[in-house]
Amino acid sequence: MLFAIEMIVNSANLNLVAFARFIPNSQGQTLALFSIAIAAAEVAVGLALIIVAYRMYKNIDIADFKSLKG
Amino acid sequence: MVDSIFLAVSVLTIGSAIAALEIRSLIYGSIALMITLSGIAGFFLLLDSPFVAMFQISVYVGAIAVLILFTVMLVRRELIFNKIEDPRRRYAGIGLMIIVMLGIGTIIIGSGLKTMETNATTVDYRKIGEDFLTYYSPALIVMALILASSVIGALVLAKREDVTSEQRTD
Repeated sequence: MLFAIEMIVNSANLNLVAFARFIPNSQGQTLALFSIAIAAAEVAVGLALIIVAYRMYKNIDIADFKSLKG
Repeated sequence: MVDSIFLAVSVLTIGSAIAALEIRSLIYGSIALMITLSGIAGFFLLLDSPFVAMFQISVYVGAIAVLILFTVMLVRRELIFNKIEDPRRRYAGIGLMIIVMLGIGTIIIGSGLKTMETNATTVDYRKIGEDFLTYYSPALIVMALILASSVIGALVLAKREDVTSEQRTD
């Protein structure tokens, strides 16, 4: 799951930089840099959630999570 | 010359991306994901944006991939992800991918970008830094606050003591 999300974010960044190559200013690359930083924050929170879920269920298969109550 | 490098990087990136999603072992999947992220950094280098490539390597390959590896090693003992797979979902995913690719392809073909060549000048990294500190400085501050709050939130989530295995519902 998390791998797939990472790949989608990366492809979006790649598109940003690729099409920004056609315009002469630096806006596209700046937006890509911001996007990479946001993705880093998202991964940190996602991995913390995985650790909490593992502590609750001793498993990280999302099919086994029956409740999200803390 | 650039074409052969592009082909090699493409094969490496797409191949390791498929491997990362298909390999059962989570550790090898994480390593394949690392190769994918490095390949994307190579694409950034080919697109004349070395600053974004360095950022990609330091943030993704240096931080995120290592973090994922640590979490995988911390969480799983047997490290084999034996999920129940529905083949219909796989076919639906492939079909959806083809539809999305066709849609994006028609948009790009219809957008008037007739050639892959461009004579736009490459962006100097000094210009990027200047933009960050002048026009985008409020966004940069907000970004710093988001990163700090996400790190604090991750710490609070991971350090909770009251979550025990007694709360299992099955």
